[in-house]
Amino acid sequence: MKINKIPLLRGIQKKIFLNFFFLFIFLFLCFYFPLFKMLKEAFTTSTGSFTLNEFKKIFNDLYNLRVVTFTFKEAFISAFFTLIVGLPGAYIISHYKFKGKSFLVSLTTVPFILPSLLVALGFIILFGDNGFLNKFLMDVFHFKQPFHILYSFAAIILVHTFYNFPVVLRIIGAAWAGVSDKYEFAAKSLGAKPLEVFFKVTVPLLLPAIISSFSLVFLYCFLSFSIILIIGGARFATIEVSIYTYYNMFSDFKMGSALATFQALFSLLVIYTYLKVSDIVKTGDIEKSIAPAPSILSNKKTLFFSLIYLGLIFFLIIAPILVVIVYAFLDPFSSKFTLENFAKLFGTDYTYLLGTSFLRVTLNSFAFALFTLLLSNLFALLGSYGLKTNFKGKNLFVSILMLPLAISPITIALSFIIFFRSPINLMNTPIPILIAHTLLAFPFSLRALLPAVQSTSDSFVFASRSLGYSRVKSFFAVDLNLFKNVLITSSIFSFAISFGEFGATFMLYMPRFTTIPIALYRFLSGRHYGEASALGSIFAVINIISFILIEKFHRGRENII
Amino acid sequence: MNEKIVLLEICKNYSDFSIKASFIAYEGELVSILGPSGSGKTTILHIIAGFIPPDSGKIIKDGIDITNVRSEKRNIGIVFQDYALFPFLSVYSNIAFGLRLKHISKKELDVEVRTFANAFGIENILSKYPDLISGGEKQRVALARAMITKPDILLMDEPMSSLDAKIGEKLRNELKDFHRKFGITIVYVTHDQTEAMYLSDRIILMNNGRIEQIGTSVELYYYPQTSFAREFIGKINSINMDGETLYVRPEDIKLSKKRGILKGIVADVHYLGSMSEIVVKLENSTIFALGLTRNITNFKAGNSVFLSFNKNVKQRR
Repeated sequence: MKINKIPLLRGIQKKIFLNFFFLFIFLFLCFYFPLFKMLKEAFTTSTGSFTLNEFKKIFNDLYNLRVVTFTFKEAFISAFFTLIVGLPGAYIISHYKFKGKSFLVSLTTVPFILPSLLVALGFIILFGDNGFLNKFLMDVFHFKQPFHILYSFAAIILVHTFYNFPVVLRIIGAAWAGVSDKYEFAAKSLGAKPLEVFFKVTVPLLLPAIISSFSLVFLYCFLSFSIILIIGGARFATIEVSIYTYYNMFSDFKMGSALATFQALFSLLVIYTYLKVSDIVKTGDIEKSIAPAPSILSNKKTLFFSLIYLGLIFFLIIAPILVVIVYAFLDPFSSKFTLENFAKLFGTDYTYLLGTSFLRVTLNSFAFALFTLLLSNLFALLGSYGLKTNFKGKNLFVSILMLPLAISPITIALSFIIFFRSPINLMNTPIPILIAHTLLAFPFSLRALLPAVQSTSDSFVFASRSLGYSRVKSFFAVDLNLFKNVLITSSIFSFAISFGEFGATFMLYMPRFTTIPIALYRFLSGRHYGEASALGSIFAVINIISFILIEKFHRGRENII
Repeated sequence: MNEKIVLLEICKNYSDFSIKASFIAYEGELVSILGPSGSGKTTILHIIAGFIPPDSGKIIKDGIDITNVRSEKRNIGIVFQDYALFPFLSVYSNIAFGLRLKHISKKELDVEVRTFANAFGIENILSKYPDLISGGEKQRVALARAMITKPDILLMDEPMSSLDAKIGEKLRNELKDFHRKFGITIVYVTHDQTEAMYLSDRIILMNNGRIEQIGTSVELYYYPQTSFAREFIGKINSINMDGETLYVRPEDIKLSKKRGILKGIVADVHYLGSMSEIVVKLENSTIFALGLTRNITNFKAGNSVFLSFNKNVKQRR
């Protein structure tokens, strides 16, 4: 039987087509074509013939080789330490019941929505040569010299670990709770000692979760940009940083494109591993186990270690935000309360540094974030509805939609610079920045919306239509209400992603389009830490509000990160 | 007979539930712990295995107090309800798991694993992974995995409950053969009375955390000592006669068209195959009688009927 002979099915096909039509126009015009042009740039000579020279230079050129090795080394070590730091937390949240556990778990979302620049600022204020820690050591213990913590390899690892350990905590924690303790008991009954049980049973059972969290953290660190730029100092450059450098310092599009291509290929490999493995990860509930989850108070030794660990987590998450806010109100010389920093920030003192007024900066950020929110939700809705029905080649469609997830902000920016210059030059409009933000936020919105849309029965819509609502009317009356909470979550995420976006914006912006993160970077690189903190604390407040909103609307749902 | 394992006034308290139990399993015996779900039978098994520490009481194995011995040192094997075969290991490695901890040579290990695989008829699935084998094969693998370490006692936690009836019946026979062959002491937990009666040398009947009665299948069926035992095992009719209550099994009721000590009306007939169940309405109660189907074909719903009891009824009230 031919499908399009059945009127109802034909309707569905048409619907899918329409949903994807607009989405694909957007994706191909604003993502795939620019990317293709960048690939062409990497593999052609200036006369237009095919070449592998640029690609070879990644490994022949000493600088490039150093960058590539450093990136792999840094990402691997960061992911390793993150795993080590996150594992005890995963154990605690999966094996004990205690008051405030769900709050603590939700607190671990904070680093996700915290822009990396803010984290970097927090670390500078805490661990810098004039930071709180060194001041404390010199004042109280009369140390002569400050500890040089920042601008080192260790500092990069430290910040990456802080930034990413919640990934490990959440993914492995959830998986560990789902691993029935019967396997461990079975091993014990066969004579396995505690350590043997751990390495021969628990670790293999957790392996999918370990690989999946490791690969995710690895990817984040592999693509690290602003943290390397600020905390690493001039000596260190990841591939992401050097793509920027090639463009910014040498206007070398070809080498940048080659590096970006190499980076994208490897990211794809990692993300493919992540998605494959995370499919296997089963999560569950500790209530189902043989020995019921004990209260954390039941054993003095575990209580002691748990308290230390949990306290440390709490401190690590809260401290960088807290010190930024404190520092904003502090006179650096007298250590007294002051509003000076804010006054300077809102005044015109820094127009020269920011390229535009601070009011304009704020407006820019909000405008980008709001438009991103709208576009990202719109496209995610189109994608989710398109994927609701099953059809041939659906997996390919999903991959096409999700690919932006694997392409780094700097790569997107580079491809835009190459693509949007001719035939019409869009580079002096805000459009490339807006599109870049939307591309970065869209996969997250899709991951938030897709499960909700897919799991909702069509009956609701059929019911409303049978009651006389048109499809459009029932979308507003029924669909929007059904997906209200996920839409809100997706909105907050897309808003926060755009609001905190630094890399792509940094590469694409003109002074008129300076956003809050760019301004923050300007203050940081000019060592205006007071003003940076004032701006950072405003930033932090917005993030805390996002956190509370996400908590309110996303509690108990699937992770979208 | 040797006392293989003794539970001495074991107590375990939970916020809304408590367990108190004492019993003995003798050398080579298959003892079932039978009871409805939530009666605490699995918890007792886990206490014996050492997974859950008792609040008080002692566990004695071969005359030695093992209450405070860690589970990996107890040498007690266990087969879990869903077998808990390690999903990341092949059947071969699952069976070898216990021996690998003992650092024996590869060759010895291989010989042992293959011997046990042969004994349980699973030599042809050794390279498969647990999610690809049938429920019956899983049980055999779980048994082989537990038995290869030569445990003193084997604990089994409702191993048939997740299988369908036909396979369950087959595996019951296999298990009985296995028990005969190895002669190991087995403590077997189940909620299925047919299974318990079929398999066990003795049954420990539990309800609500307490032991109701311990005895052979016959003792429990014909000489129930508590009202719970009476109601839980088999079907029973309680009939009021001359001011006293008579407990009568359905198969002890004889039906007649002409004479008997009670008169009633056939309400329904349930054909069960070789046997049939007849529901009889008395003046103020309903009773069930059981007879060979070919003997009762002339009783139809609506017929009046006379009841009498087998001779043995009176004496085992």
